[in-house]
Amino acid sequence: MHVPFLLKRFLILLATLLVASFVIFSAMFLAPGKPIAALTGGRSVSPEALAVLERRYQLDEPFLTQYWNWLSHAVRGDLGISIATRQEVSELIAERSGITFALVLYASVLIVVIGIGLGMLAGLRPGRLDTALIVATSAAAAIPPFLSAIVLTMIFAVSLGWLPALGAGDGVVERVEHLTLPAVALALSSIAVVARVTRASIRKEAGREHVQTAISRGVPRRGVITRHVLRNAAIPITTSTGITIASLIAVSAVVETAFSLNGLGQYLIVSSNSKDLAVVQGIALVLVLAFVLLNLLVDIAYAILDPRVNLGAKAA
Amino acid sequence: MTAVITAEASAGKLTRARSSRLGIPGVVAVVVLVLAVAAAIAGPYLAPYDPSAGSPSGAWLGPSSGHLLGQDVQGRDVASRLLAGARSSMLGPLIVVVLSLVMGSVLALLAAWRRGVVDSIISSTMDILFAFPGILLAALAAAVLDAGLWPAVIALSVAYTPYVARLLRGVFLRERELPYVAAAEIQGFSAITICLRHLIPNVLPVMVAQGTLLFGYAVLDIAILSYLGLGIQPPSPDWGVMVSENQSGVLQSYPLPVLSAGCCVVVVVVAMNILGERLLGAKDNER
Amino acid sequence: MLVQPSVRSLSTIVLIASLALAGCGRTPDDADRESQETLMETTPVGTENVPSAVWAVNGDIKTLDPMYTVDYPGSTTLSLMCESLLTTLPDGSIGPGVAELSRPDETTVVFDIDPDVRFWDGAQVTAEDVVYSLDRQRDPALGGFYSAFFDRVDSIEATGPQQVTVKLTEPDYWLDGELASRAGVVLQKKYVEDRGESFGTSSGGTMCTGSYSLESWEPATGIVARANPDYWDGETPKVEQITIKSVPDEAALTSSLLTGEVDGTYRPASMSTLDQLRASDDVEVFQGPSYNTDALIVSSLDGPLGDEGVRRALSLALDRKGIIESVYRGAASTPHWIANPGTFGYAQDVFEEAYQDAPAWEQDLEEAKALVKEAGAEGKTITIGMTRGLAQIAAAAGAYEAAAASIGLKVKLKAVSTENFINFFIDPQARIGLDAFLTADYPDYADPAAFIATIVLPNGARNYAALEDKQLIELMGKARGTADPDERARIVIDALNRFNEVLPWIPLVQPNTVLVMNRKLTGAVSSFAYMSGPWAADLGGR
Repeated sequence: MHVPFLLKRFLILLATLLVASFVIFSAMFLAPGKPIAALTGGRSVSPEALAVLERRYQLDEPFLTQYWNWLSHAVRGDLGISIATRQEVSELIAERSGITFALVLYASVLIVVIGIGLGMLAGLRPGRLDTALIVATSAAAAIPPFLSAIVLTMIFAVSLGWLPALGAGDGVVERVEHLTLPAVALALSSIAVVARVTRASIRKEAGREHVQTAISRGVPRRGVITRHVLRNAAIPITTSTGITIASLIAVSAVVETAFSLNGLGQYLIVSSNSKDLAVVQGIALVLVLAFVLLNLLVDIAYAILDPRVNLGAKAA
Repeated sequence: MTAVITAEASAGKLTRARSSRLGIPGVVAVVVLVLAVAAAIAGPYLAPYDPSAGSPSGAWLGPSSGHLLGQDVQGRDVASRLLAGARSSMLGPLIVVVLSLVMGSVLALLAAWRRGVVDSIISSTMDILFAFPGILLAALAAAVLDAGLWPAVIALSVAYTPYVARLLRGVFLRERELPYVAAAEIQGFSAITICLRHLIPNVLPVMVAQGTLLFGYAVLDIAILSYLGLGIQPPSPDWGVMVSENQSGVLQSYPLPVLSAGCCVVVVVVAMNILGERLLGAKDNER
Repeated sequence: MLVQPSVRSLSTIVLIASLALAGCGRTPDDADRESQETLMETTPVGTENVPSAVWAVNGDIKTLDPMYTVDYPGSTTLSLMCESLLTTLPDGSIGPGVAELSRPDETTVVFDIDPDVRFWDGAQVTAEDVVYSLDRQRDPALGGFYSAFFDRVDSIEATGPQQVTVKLTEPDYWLDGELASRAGVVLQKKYVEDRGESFGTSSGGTMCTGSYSLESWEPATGIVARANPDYWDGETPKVEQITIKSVPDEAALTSSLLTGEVDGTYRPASMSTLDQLRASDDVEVFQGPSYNTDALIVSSLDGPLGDEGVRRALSLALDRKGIIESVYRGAASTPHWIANPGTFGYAQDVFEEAYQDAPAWEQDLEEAKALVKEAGAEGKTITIGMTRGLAQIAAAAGAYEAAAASIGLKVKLKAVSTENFINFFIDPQARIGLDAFLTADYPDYADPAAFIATIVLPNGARNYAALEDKQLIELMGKARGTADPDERARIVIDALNRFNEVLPWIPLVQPNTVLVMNRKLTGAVSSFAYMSGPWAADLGGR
C-alpha cells in the first residue's frame, strides 16, 4: 500500500522537475539580452572578446541542443557551471542552501514553539489571553515579510543595536545572532496562522460531544485533554504547520533581500535576471525537491497521527 | 508563497462566525474595501499633488498642513502616492483572482464532471504545478516580459490556479453526486447547460468567499513581488514599490512613507480576510 | 463570548499609524544641510595594528582572473592582492611596480624586473612569468577584455632572467597606463597552468605578489585576504586580515557601516544616505579625485541626436546642480570636459591650466532653445535606454527628460531591469530603437585620452554610434605616439575641446571617489587609483 503511494509521489517529482527544467530553459532562451553580459558588469567590451566567450559556454548552439546538453549532464549529476563565476553550480548552491536552510529551520522552530504554544494556550484557556491573541494574529497574519523585516531592523538593529542587521555571520553563535531578526521576520505571519489554526482545532475538539460527556462524567480533565482533544487536534495542526513551513522556502527570498543574506531565494532572482541558466535550473531543482519532501513528511505524519487514513487515500 | 491560502482557508472555516450576517467587523471590512476601491478608481484624481512630481529639497520632509503624510525620498507627496498607488495595488490582485478562479474552476469542473482519466490528468498536472515554486514563476515571467504589473499578475494567476482547482474539484464532486444532477441528465439537458444553470450558481458562494480570501493574498504577494523588483517598477506609485523606494528612510529615522504604504497593504489584507471568513461562515450556515 | 477580533486589529493598526505620524519626518530647516569634503588622494597613514576589517563592495566578485576583471567589485579586490608591472599611484601617475620601464628606442619597451619580487609562495618572479601573463592578456583566442590594447605590440620576449622586452610596430605611450592597471597584473605561470579552467575562480584562486594574499573565497560570503608577512616591497600591512563582502543594497550598506559590521567601502554609486553617514560619530566620509563621468551615450545618429546642435542644446539644458545636490549630496562636480579632472595622471599643470580655461557646462536655456529651433528639431522625440534599478541612472534619466522638455524636445524612456541594462553596452540588438542610453563610466587608467580614444576611434569599444570625426581620430593617433608628456597633454587638450563641439557623449556630472571608513581605521587610498593600485598598504588603526 505504501509502495504505490511513494512511487506516485516520486513520479510526480520527476515530472515536475522535467517540466520545470524545460520551462526554465525556454524562458531563459526567450528572455531578451545575453547571458554573457553578466561578465562585463556594464562596461564596454570588444565584440570579439564576447564572441570567444559565447563559444566557450556553447551559447551559440541551437535551443534544443543546449537543452539536451544540459539535461544529459544533469541526469548524471553534473549541474554545469555558472556563467558569471565559472564555478560549479552544485558548489554555489550548496553554500547558499546552507543559509536558507538555517533560516527556514530557525523560523520553523519559532513557528512550532510559539505558534502552536500560543494557539494551545488560547484554545485551552478562553479569556483575556485568547482575545488578545486573536487580535494580534489577525493583524500579524497580514503583515508582509518585508514590512516586518524593516520594522525589526528599525527597532532592534538601528535604535537598540541589540542584533546585527546584515549578513549571515561565521560560526554557530554568530550565525544564530545574525539570523534571529530574519527568522522572526520570516516566521511572524506564519506564527499567526499556525496559532489560529491550533486554537481553532482545539476549540473544535474540546467542544465535541464525547469530550463534553467525559468531562461531565468526572473523567479527569487533564487526561481527557491529552487523550482526546490534543490527539485529534494534532492532525489539522500538523498539516497546516507543514504546509506553512514548506511555503517559507520561497518567501525566504524576501527576507534574504531585506537582510542582505546570500541565500537561495535571493540568488534565484539575481541569476534569473542575469540569465545564468545553469544556476536557475539548480536552484529550481532544490526548491522543488524541498517542497515535495516537506509535503511527503506532512502526509506521513498525517498517516501516523490518524490511523483511519492510509497514505494512498490521502495522496489522491 | 501561496501555500498559506489553504491553511488559512481551513482556519477560516473552523473559526467561522456563528451569525450569517457580517457583524461589526464585517461591516468595517466592507467600508475599508469600499474606500480602497474608491481610491483605486478615483485616487489619481483625488490626489492633492502630482504623485510623480517631486523636488530634491522636499526629500524626507515630515507631515505638514500641505502634506498630511509628509514627503518621500524624492520629495513627492506620500498621501498622493498612496491614493494613486491604490489602483495598481488593487487592480493587479483583482485580475489575479479573476484569472485564477476562471482557470481553476474550469479545470475543477472538467475533472469533476468527466472523472476517470480526465480527472487523473488534471489532478496530476495540478500536483506538478503545485510543487512549482511561485517565486520561480515570477522570476521567469519578469525575465521574459521585463518586470512589470503584467508578468507578476500572470505568474501569480498560474501559481494560484492549482489551489483553486483542488478546492473546487472537491466541491464540484460533492455537488455532482446530488440527485438533481442525475435527474437533469435523464431529462436530456447537456452537460454544459447543467454546469452553467445549476452547478456553478450553486457553488458560486464558495467561489466568492474563496475569491475574497485569495484577493487578500494577492495584494500581499503583488506587494512582495514589487518589493523584490519583480513586479511594478518605480517610479509608478504602488504600495510595494513605495516600501522598497523609501526603505533607506527607516535608517534615517523617517519611516513614515514605508509604514504608511505597509499599513495600506495590511489594512486591505485584514479586511479581505475578515470578509472572506464571514462569507465562508455564512455559506456554511446555509447548509 | 464571541470575540470580535477584526475591529480591534483595525484599531491597532490605526494606532500604529498615528504613532508613526507623530514621530518622524524631517523639518524643512535642515533641507539644505550640505557638507563638502575637500578632495584628498589618500588618508593619513594608519599606525596601529588591527586584527581584522570588513570591506564592502557593491556586488559579487565574479573572477580574480585579471583579463576578465572589469567591474568595481572585481577590480577593488584584485588591486588589494595583485600587482601590475607598473604601479598606479594615488595621484593617478605611473611609477615602477613589479618592474621598471625603459625605452631604448621609440618602438622598444624594456621591463627590468625587481629581483626582490616574490609571489606569495616565496618563488621569485621571473621573466617567464611576466611574458606568460602578458601573452595571456593579448591572446584574442582567450577572449580577454584587454587584448585590443595590445594592438601595437609585435612581440613580447624574455631577454634575460629578469628582463622582458616588448617590441612595438609603432610608438605607443598608452601601453604604460594599461600595464599599470588590470592588463599588467603579474601572475605565476606555473600556478595558472596547474589550475587550468579553475584559475581565478573561487576554487582555483590565484597567485600574485601583493601585500595581501588570498586566504579563502566562499562565493556566498566573500573573500578573505591576509597580510603577507614576507611582502617584498616595504612593511607588512597593519591590518592582519581584510574580508571583502558584497553589499549592493544602499540601505543595508548604510546600516552596517553605522553599526560597525562593515569597516569601510568605496561607493561607486550615488548614496542618498551620505548626509546621515557624515553626521555619524563612528564613520568618516572622504572624497577624492575620480576617473568617473556620468553621461548620455548617443548610440544612433539617425534620430534628432544626429544633429550636433541638438546634442549641444541638450547638454546646455541640463540642470547639473540639481543632480549634484540631490543625487550625489555634493560629491560630484560640473564637467568642463568629458574626462574627469581626476584622470590628469601626467602633465598635471598643463591639463589643470587648460581645464580652468575651458568653460564648465552651465545651464543656458536661451541658447539651447535657439539651437533646437535652428536644427528644426522642435517636438521631436528622443528614446533613451535606462534602468530604474540604479538610483543615479534613474535620476540622470529624469534630468535629461526635464532638459529635453524645457527646450521643446520630447523624451521617451525605455526602462529595463538592472541586469538587462548591461546589454545596451554589449548587444547591438538591445540598442535597436534607442537614440541614446545612460552610463556611468571611467577609463582604465588616469589619462583623458584613454577615455576619448575608445569613444571616437572607429574600432573603439565605446563608439556605439559609429561616429567618425577626422579631427578627433587624427588627434588620438598623434597623442598615442607622442613621447613628451607635456606635448601629449596639449594634443589631448585639443581633443577634449573638440569633443565638446562634437559631443558623441553628453556629459552630465563627474562624481568624486567616495570612501566611507570607520573612524578607528585610516590610511586607505581615497582617489580612484584604488581600482588599479594597492589601496590598503597604509591601512591601519589610529
